[in-house]
Amino acid sequence: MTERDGFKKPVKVVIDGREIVAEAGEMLLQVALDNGVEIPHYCYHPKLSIDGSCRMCQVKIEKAPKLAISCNTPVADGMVVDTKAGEVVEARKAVMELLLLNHPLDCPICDQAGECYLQDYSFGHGRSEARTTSPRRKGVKRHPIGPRVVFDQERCILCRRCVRFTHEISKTDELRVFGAGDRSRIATSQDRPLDNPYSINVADVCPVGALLSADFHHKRRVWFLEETETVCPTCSNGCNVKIGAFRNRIERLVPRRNDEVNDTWMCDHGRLNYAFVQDETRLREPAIAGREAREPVPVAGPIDYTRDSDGREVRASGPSVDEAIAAAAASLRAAVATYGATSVAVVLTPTLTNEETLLLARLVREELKTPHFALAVPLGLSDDFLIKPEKVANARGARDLGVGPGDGGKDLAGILAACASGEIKVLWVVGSDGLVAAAGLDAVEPAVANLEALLLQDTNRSALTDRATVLVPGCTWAEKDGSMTNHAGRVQRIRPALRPPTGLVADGEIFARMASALRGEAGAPFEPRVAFAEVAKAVPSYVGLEWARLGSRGLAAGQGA
Amino acid sequence: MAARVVTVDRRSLRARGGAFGARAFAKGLSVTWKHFSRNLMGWVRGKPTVATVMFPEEDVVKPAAFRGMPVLVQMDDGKERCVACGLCEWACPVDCISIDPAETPDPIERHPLRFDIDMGRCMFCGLCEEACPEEAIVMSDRVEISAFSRGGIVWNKEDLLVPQDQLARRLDWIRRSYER
Amino acid sequence: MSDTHGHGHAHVEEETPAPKVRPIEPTEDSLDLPFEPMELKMGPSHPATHGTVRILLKLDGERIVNAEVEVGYLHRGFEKECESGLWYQAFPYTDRLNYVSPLINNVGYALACEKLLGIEAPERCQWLRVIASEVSRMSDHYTCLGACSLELGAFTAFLYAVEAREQLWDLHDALCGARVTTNYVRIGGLSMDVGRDFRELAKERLAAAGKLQQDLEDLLLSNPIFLDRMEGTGVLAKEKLVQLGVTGPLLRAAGVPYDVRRAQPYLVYDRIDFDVPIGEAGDNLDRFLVRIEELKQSRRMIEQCVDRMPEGPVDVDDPHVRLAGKGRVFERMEELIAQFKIVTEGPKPPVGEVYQAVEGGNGELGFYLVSDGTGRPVKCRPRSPSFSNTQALSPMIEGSMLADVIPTFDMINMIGGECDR
Repeated sequence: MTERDGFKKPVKVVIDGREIVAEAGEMLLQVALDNGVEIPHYCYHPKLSIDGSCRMCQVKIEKAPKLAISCNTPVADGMVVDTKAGEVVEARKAVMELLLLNHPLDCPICDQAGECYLQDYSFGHGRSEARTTSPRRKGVKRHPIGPRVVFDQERCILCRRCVRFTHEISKTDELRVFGAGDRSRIATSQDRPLDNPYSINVADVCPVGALLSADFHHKRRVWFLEETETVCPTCSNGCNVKIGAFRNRIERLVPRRNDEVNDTWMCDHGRLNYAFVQDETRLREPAIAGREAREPVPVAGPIDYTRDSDGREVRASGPSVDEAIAAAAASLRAAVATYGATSVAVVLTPTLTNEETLLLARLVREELKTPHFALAVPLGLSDDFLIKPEKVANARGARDLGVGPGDGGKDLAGILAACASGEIKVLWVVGSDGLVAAAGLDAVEPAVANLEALLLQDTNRSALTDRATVLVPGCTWAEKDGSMTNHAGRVQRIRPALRPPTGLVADGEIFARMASALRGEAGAPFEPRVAFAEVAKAVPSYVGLEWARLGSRGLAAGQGA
Repeated sequence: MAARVVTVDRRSLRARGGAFGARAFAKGLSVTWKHFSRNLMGWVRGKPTVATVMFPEEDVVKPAAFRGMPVLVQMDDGKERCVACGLCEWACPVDCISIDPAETPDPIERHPLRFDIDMGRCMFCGLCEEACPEEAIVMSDRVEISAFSRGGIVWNKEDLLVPQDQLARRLDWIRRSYER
Repeated sequence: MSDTHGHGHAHVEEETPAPKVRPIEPTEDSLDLPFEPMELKMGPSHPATHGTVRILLKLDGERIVNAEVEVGYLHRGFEKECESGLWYQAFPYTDRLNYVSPLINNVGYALACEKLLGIEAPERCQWLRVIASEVSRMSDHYTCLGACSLELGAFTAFLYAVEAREQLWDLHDALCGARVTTNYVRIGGLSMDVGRDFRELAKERLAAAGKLQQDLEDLLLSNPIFLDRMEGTGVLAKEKLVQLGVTGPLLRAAGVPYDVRRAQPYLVYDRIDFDVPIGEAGDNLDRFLVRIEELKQSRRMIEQCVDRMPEGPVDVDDPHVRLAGKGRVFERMEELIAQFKIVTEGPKPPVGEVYQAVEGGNGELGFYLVSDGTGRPVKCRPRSPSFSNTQALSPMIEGSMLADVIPTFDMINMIGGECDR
């Protein structure tokens, strides 16, 4: 074991009197941050090259003549560092004063307030009083530097993180520093807008409010947001994200760091793909075709039962979720009894969690006993960075759990053909929008035209929802608890950030109730934590994975043992 | 400079009341007579001396420091001074302020699309006025807020706007009193 | 016939009669008759139990055999509310503890927070806080004395006391803009400095209140009906009072000279002259007289303070704790940032716990605060003087007559908001 073989030599450094072991070659700043020592910094970012321009991370190193910037100082054995010395405190004050000298008094109108490095470090390390009120330099304000990013030149502190991002990560080089000295400005070169599939990440890396996400611009103060750690559902990469919600609505998504999945980035499309959770296409009511309306619930007393917890009017006239499930189960049972199990088919768009998928697979195999069970996986463009071709969150998980045709069962194309020919009488689709995207409307429309019953379990309106015999609305990923497996086999937790619309339950609970209805006896309710243990048992490569150990970063299949 | 301990003196209280308490009764009557005659003369002369204020025909004189209901300062061009920064919404201990910020083409860039105060919850504590970095929300001297329904007691932006010259006294007071 | 519950004979006594505890001995006759004590539920809705408390009385005729006091009807979750907000958001809630002396609660909480933060408010602020506390104390005492007279039947005296209280509430108004829910004190300072005319206003109002107080005394203090109701009633031995944790005028009337302003001086109480009145008999009359004297002393203190109060800032010069003036926020970057940080995250006291006591209108008002270093309190527990004092009600009234409950309860001055929090 030598350095030539790639092993790193251990190095001992003392930071603020504490002995810390690091690897030779690591930068002092990263070592400090990894060990809970707070050193303020602007231009340094763990996933970008070192800039060394902001001078905020200066620390005192014993035997060094001047303060050194810790972001560009490799650790050496025996190094003694003091981050609290008087010189360091004064240096930070000086850097802060210079940064704030030309900074516009935009806090009341700037989105970054509440997560602004300038605010945090000024309060913690800067001067307590301004020494000047002279006018600040003028620059371009609220400039649409790209279709999804807003730029304010006056707020920029020239840390150049954004320039490095467009050069090193998105590799599109839109942003450059123009001018020199105190006339330096960030701008796009040759009037090219900042338009790449990862453009909004510059708003994440920007420590101040100079670059902001246009989608979140003037939307909500961050201190109101309830943040939930989860995973993006838009493709099978499973980028780790945080949902910021307020009053039971998603206000924004931001990426989280996971060095095994997405570093600290996410693509723009995934980041902006949350409107479906709460827009007018969201299904909030079950439906049964031809069914007479229920009597509305009489309102008595001060509580208004005609409005749900979001204040939206709830139509008390449609069937309840349980009634819809009962109708769907009856339809399936009738077809199986009259024509046999092969007259029934189930298509799944794998946006569900592993626990829900396992429950569905069991239901299909043991209660319905039909071999016609197929995945509908919509595909799209991909790149060599984060964006993956499968535009669903859990295709890998579904495959790992054995979702697919049974003995003699048809694949998706076969199922659709059999529906069109009348061989299959009842089709149950979980995620009809995914089915239409995967197979194409041309193949789907003739298929559903001849069915005796079309049972849909969807979250949003699709081309098929109006034709459903029974429609049971499910829940979106933002309202669920569970695990999902990304394309590379990493099992990650999703966590609920919102309450589902009044009366609706998670898909797993729908399957549990469906199983009970088919069996004719009540079963246990759906519990993701309990069901995960069965998932881990059902998939050989998941052996040893435990719910409690999935944490915020997930576990790779095979890491359990 | 210190605190002394003294014992209350009650020795002659009963004695001072006189036989059968007669002197006490006389003294009491003289006190009430004094008040009565003063107030009667005051009423006769048209210069009332009673503490009672005939509300709502009369109103009490409110000092400049008085904290009535919060209102939004309206600039001379009719727009609110508020930029929807959200500090008052956050500072409010009872969560009675609800703001939806939005972009505006004006140079100020940001303004409240919706600014609601649930006056039924508001306790007129003034923390919103203190938090505001723009002098956009101030405590007026108005306290009448009754409504006929729970929804009616929620005041929206249009209800809350008051022209800034009507609030000059308060704005002046804030600037003087919050100065260090 | 030496019973001080006099029958109007002109027996002039030179000395204060020793308190006579008058247990009503059951006679031979009454023991023969089968009897059950009558259970009377006094409160929580009762004109005399101001502050919603229930006293479950078991009566033998007029004699109270057993009294059980139930508090908690005004519990509003003060501690829980404080935990869900930031440190500075608790001030409006402290107003509503002892709601007749709100500024004392504000001052107590602020002093406790400052102790936790390790800072001290500037000179002028301390003098103003003393003025604020004493104005509130006077307001508390006028309410107590007025309510007591009302319940003994002296309606006019009540009106005079309330008018005197109005004068003081005008002073509250001038200080902070609100008569009762003052929300005046802040961590590290005050919400605002006083106007230039405050000194004249204070003296004028105190003089007016003083005149009304003199009228109150003239009406009541020599009145034999009043004296008969108050003298010798509601007595409890001082040792028992101390055991129960009683403080304030209730304790001082029994002769124990414990006053937090004297025992553990805070703010500028060690620099001004005042007397701490105590009683000897420990009956309701002593408690009444102690409060009358305290009102005079508070007036004396306020007049000293407005004369001697220095000029200067009222807020501590620490941008991590106290907001800068509005003028500075408009044109200075660092101050604008500090405004944002303080409003959204609040001052962050270091990890630790602290107890700070002040002399409330009813006794030792303490605040026990626990901080975990974040902007929200882990625990904010008020040590309520009313709660401890109300414990004394049962032993005081057991054995006495039903009518004695009224002056005794009034003189304990249980304030529901403080007792139940």
